[in-house]
Amino acid sequence: MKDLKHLIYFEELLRQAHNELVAQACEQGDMALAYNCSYIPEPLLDVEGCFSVRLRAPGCTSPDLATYYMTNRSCSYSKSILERAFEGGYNFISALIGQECCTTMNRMEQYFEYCDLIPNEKFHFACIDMPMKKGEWYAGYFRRQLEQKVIGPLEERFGIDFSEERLRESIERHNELCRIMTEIGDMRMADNPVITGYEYHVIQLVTLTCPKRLIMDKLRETLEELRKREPDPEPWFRARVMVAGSEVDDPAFTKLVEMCGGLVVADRYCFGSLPGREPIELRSGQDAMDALAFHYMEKNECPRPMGTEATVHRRQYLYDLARKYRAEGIILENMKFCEYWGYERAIAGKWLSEGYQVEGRIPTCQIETDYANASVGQLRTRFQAFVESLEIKRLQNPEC
Amino acid sequence: MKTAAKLLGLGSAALAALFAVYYFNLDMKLVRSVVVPLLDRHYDSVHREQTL
Amino acid sequence: MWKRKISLKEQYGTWEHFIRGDEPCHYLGQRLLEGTNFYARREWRGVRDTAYAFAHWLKLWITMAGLVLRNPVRVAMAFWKYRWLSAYLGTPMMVDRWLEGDRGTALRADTAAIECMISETVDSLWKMIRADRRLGETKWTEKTITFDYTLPKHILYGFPGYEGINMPQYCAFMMPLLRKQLGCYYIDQTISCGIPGDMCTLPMLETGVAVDNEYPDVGNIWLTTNTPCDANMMDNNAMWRAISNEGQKAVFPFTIPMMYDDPTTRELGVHEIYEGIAFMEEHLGQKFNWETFVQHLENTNTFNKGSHERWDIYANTDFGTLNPVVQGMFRIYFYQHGGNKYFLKANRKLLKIFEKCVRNEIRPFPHARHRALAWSCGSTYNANVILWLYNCWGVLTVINMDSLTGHNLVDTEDRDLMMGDLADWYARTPMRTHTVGGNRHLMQMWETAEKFNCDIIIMYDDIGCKGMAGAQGLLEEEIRKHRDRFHVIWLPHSLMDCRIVPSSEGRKAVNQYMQNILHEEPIDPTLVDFDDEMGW
Repeated sequence: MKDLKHLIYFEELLRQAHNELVAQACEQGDMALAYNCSYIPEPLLDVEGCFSVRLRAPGCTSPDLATYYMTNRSCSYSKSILERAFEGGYNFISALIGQECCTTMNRMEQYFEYCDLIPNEKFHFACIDMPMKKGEWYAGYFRRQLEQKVIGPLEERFGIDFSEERLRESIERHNELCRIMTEIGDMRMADNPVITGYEYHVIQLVTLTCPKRLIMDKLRETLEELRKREPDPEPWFRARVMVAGSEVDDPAFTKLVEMCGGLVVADRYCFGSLPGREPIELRSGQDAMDALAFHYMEKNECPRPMGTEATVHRRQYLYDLARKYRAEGIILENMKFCEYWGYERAIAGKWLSEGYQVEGRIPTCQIETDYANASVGQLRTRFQAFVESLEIKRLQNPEC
Repeated sequence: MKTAAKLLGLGSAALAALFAVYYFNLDMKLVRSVVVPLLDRHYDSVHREQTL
Repeated sequence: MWKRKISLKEQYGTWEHFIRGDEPCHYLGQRLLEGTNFYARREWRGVRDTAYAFAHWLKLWITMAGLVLRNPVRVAMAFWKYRWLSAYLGTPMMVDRWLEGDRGTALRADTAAIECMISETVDSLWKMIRADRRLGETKWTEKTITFDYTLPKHILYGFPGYEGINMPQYCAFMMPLLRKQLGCYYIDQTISCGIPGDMCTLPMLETGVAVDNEYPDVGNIWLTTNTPCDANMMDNNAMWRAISNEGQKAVFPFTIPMMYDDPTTRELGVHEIYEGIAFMEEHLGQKFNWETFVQHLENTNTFNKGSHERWDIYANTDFGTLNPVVQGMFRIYFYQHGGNKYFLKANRKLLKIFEKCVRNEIRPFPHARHRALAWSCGSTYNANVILWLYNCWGVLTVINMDSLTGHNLVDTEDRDLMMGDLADWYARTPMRTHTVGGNRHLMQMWETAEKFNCDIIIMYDDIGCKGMAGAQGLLEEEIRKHRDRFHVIWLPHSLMDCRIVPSSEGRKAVNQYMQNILHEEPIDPTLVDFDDEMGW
């Protein structure tokens, strides 16, 4: 297939957090509001005068200082973020909007304050208490947490305008982005898609880590390009797979899967679009904050929510996604030392392989990764074997 | 009187025996050497389906 | 064949010491069978105290026999079915470890507390067994409700006629305390399902019992919770299939705010209590009885007031008379149950003994050279290391972190205040201080150490704990700032799995500090270095 016009530019933007567009936005007076978790509502941080930055630490292979603070038994994603902060990689941020979604991430975020990592007198650190159940009351609680910990302090400290009008504008811009990303993402459903999983991963990461107003034009162009793009005469891949798991913020991971013959057709992980790129609905009688709180609480598929409904729903969601995108198998990933996904991966792997509480069985490949993708050789072997097994299964059962 | 003496004698003997069990830790030695290994052998023989 | 290493003459010196049991050094280590922590001989504590300990041992066996005698067939079936139940045969040994070196008022206070815990345990085990569907449905089956391990049963007191069991406590948490190899067995079952082995071992153990499908099938309701930490939240997912009986039971997640010190989160805590009550009303078909509920809260307040008095004595005097391991375990046990009849009785007894010590200026722990605060979460397979610290090195732990949970008094006059205070109780569970809610809880250790006049902090280092791992650097830096005031001794362990960090490693870390930094001689040289890997 012909290369996408902006792909190399997007890849370049992902090389560091303080990239060209981030620097440009900061110079223009916009405030960078950083976050780590998909529960944090992006439109809230993308109001006029601000932009949201989801933190990554590309190229961080030896988080030595962070290891001193957090030991070698902590999740390497959190440690890498902390390491990059020590290196000064996030000096441009005005605030870090955290939440106690997981202990390790919370510990990491607290070091931003304890070690005074951001050289900005006005730097604000917020820690939201996110409820572990879904429902109207809990959405209201989430909203109150956002108001008390994010909106109030940022209004006071930086004079940011979080009025209803501004929030609705931000939601509308966000929804346009979501419509573009959803249309691009849906192209992966085709028999012979015009976009690879790697390309989609790159674009998705760019939407999370760059000021949206500065990339929208390129996204629109990319969508147009993809609408007209001709796929390869024959599909290049041997099997269609979905990736589900925790913090997969390195497109090299997706590239590795695809180099082994597996086309990544769906991305159900913390940095992914499923969920994450559904337009936010403003129901009648609902104000913008209500809509944001409800949407981010309701749509999130984090393993945190408890209870029978949430437990069963998450696996059903994986199954439904796999069916929708016609994935033949699911790669279930967890970052080493991640408590949530360590359990979730094993449980989902068992249920989906058995066909328990879902309509059918789906083959799964369970892997554990490190942030720096250190064990690439081992992963390659696993992916190759998995893709081969899916291929053989398809050959033996063509109807499936 | 004789019955009381006999009962007292029996009681004392029982108490002494129990004290011997207590002091020489015979109860735990028995549990460790005999009871628990027997039970463990039974538990290990039971086939179990993994429930996750 | 076991042989005394220290002769009777060497140990006791005089006939008077032998009669009174007050020899200068107890030489406790010499009684152990080689390679184990089994006693070749139980402790001779002098005539009076040995008689007291013997009577207590008899009572213990009678209590345990009482469990069997309630329904021998049913209990035998339970033993045949559940591997974890066999661990309770080791209860006398656990008690022996918890009473090591005790004399006089310490022995009396500790046996009172232990009796309370054992009576409560036997009662709960019976309630579980009688209600277990797998052993045959009874009238109790639907009247018994499963609670998660760290979820106290307070709201159940508003539903008289119903029983609650913190099932994972009896089927999982107790295992390494009684027989450490069982903890390892269940953890292996969890790992065999693909769950990574680097997780915290407590939820892994709980999950392992579920994997083997060894939780009794009791009731139609399961109240679960996210406390104390992330891993315990996730183990509820892993256990869902087993405990909810494939979703047949109604499950209520009693979720507690993560940032629990933050006043903005209190509304969530209160909301969950009301939701829990509404859930139980719906599923039990019974209205909540506020009177019986408030009575229970008042009973719990009574116990907590007693605890406060005892802590005052610990903080300001040398007359505190519960030994370190019993003190800690007693509070953790109490946390689950609140002020029930066993704890109220023990409270009265303990207050009398404490008052006696204060009145007569009795120092129950005469070998104490140091006063310590134990912080973070201690291990279960090596729970009595905290007592070993005193017996071997004279380091007396006067308070530990997990004791300081659920001790606030609840206002029972004003309902809003009452529910807010209750939400606080639920939020401050054992093992939560060091895992979630931010760093500030961890830093409370300095104030606590000052308040209790400690010069040493024993920092438990659970290598599987992500909460502690994340705060390591912070702790190291804060320790450096306070080094002129406190000695901090890191005590490594792996909570439930004795293979990862054997008990001897923990003792070795302490020995090295005491010998190389403090340059002290042990009080009991037979306890310094011994191998107990093959023990329980």
